[in-house]
Amino acid sequence: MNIISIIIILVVVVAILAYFIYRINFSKTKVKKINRRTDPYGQSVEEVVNSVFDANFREELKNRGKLHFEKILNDNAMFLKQDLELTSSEIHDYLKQEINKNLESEFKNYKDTIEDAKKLAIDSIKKTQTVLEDQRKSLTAEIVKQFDAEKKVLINNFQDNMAEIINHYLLKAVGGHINLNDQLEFIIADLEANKAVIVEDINEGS
Amino acid sequence: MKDHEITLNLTSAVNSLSDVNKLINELESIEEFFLKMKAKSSLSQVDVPKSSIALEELAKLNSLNLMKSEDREKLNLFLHFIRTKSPTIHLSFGSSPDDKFLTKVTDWFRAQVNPYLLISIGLQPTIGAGFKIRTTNKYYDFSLRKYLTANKQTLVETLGTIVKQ
Repeated sequence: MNIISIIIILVVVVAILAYFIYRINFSKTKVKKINRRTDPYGQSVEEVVNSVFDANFREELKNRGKLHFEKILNDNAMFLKQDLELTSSEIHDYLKQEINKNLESEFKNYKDTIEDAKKLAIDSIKKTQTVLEDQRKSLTAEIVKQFDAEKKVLINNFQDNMAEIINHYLLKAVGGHINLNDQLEFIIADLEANKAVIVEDINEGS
Repeated sequence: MKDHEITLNLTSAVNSLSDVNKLINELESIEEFFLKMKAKSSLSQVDVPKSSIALEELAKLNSLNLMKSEDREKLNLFLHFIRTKSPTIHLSFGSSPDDKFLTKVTDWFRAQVNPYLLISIGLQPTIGAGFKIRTTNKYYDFSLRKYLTANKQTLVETLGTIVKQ
């Protein structure tokens, strides 16, 4: 039973009450009119009726009606209460279900959104990590390459300088003490080894 | 005198352009002496120029008599030819070579390269040992410095082996 049914029942009850009130008032007015118009018989009937339906009787009827009306009202109120409670419970359950459903849907969307965002963030972090790793490898390789090149240059310079120092020392220590006549054999050997080139060069020059 | 007319030889003592110039000067002095001798009545009035050993050896090697005018003329032409036409090489040593050494080197060049070759000697103390040759067109370095520099890698490798041991 929904709210509309309850409203309809309330309207019906109010209409019944209005009808009874109207009937009672209408009866009183009608009786007065009849008393005014009728003849003495009529007046006697009226008096009889007034004696039968005297104030006590009317009061009793009124009380009975009131009690009956109260009973009907109480019964209807009880039904109405039950219906209201049931309806309220159903509405509560319905609202609870709807809210739960909406909340679940929203939570699911929220969860999906968070998952997507998380996935995007993880992908972005992975890409960044990959790029950083590549850059680190590239930088490491470049540094190693530069370091090796620098090391090679330093070693070569050191070797050149060392060889130059040794050569200089040898020339200084030995060079001035070697007699040219002692070198003659080697000089002639060098000349013999390069004789063809020297001859060709001199003949072309002359 | 043309190339094919050259019949004389150089001695080992004559190995440089300055030697040739000296001999030419000597010959001119001798020639001048004989000219003066013709103008004078007796030999006692002129000083006979003393010829050098190099000139005497050159004349002897080529069987020339310096007293004969035609021989002097021949020798003079030959020396002028040598001065203008002979190829010259420049040799550099770490110290000054003595005559004995220079004679052997000159003999080798005259025997192996050109019989009329002249040699110019230079001194380069930085050479240490060995020598350098410079011709008109090229330059050869047979010095100990060059040899050590060329074998620098061997020196480095040897030192490296010693250090590792």
